Amino acid sequence: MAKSTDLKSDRKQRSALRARLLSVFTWGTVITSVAGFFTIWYNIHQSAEASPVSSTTASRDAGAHSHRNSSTGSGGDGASSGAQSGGGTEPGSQFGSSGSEESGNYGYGDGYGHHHGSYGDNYGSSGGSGLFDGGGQGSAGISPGNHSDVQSHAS
Amino acid sequence: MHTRTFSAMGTTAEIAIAPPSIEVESIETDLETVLDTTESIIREHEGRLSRFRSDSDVARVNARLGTWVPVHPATARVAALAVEGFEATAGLFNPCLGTWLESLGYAVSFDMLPSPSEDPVPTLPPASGAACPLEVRESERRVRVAPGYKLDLGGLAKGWIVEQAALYLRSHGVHDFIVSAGGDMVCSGRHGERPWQVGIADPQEPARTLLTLDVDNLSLATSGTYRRRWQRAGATLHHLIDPRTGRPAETDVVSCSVLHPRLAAAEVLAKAALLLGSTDGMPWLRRHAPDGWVIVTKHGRVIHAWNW
Repeated sequence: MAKSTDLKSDRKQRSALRARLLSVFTWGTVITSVAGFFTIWYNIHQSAEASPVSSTTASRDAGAHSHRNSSTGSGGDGASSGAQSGGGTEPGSQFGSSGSEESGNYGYGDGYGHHHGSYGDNYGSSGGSGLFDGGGQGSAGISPGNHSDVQSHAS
Repeated sequence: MHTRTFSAMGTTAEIAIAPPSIEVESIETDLETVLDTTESIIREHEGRLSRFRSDSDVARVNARLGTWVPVHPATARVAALAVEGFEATAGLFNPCLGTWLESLGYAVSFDMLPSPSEDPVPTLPPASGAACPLEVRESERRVRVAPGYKLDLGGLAKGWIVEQAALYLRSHGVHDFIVSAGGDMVCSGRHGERPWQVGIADPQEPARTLLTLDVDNLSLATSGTYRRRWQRAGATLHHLIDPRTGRPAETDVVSCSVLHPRLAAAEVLAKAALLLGSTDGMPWLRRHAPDGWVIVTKHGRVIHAWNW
């Protein structure tokens, strides 16, 4: 029973978040979704030639970083555009990206032929007091209003 | 709302408590006393963890590179978390780039940074991502930094210190509050019937809010290249060093804000994503920052993602 209530509450929260997000969409907004993760983007400080974007169905490699046209669909998540080449993408660098988003092997080599594996491999591996452990449960989303209690900025 | 603002950690610290936030059994708590102690906690930890204070643990460690140096348990804890951050980001988050920052001119607290210099910008080598130059024996309360490096816990200590302040407030019956240091904050509970509302600064006009977030019991950290900048030989430098190049990061991301249950983790994630740039940073954040994130690129693109 408690579990059912939790699920209902969770659904309600997600529904509220969706409503909030939808309420702030504008012409320039691009929405994509992959595995329940919605990525939204738009441009600011654009010159007059920045016309409203048009919505198209995304192709697999429609990345957020290079397209002003809207990409809505499973592929256009603005994430990686497919597999990346193995270690040492920069000459002289001791870091090189390897693996791919899809395979879950994204990580960095050390320049000596070793691979440290996925970033994610390190999560949850250090007991209860680790950097990424604890802190409780919370939620966040876009606020429909402009009022803010405090500002977050680089420091 | 009860607020307290003061200078600490080279920035502005702010505590905001939503009314009514005191538990019934603690109703007689003197809020000013609690705030005084919270401020003292922040200053005490800052005194241990600052790179710029000659009597800090960090300064003592940097004065004895290559040897095990006894430190306060809090310093050992933060150092252990920093090593974890290094490992989790395969070296992108490196707590030992003090040498790089000093060579580039960031050798004093930012509010004392000298006027523009004509000295040439030195060419520095990349920092190794293979092994963390910081070692920690937490149970012995000792740390060691490899020669050639200098400890700089600035990328993590601020968040951890704010977390300690938040823990203290909660332990004294205060549950609905924000503790913020330079915009990195723990948002505990809610502001009455609504979530806390946090504005994300516009990197091009930091006084302006680009986006407002509803934050309910989470922490939020923002890393950006638009503050802590200085001029040297006509070049604009900033404090976020990319260990892969040994230079201030030059990616398309100028600001990255990350929501996470832990503020120290949010700081590490935001920094790493900024260094990765949007192409690599976004898929990485999607995996490791499920509570949400906001990226602003130098082209003025605002990208934010929420898991629903």
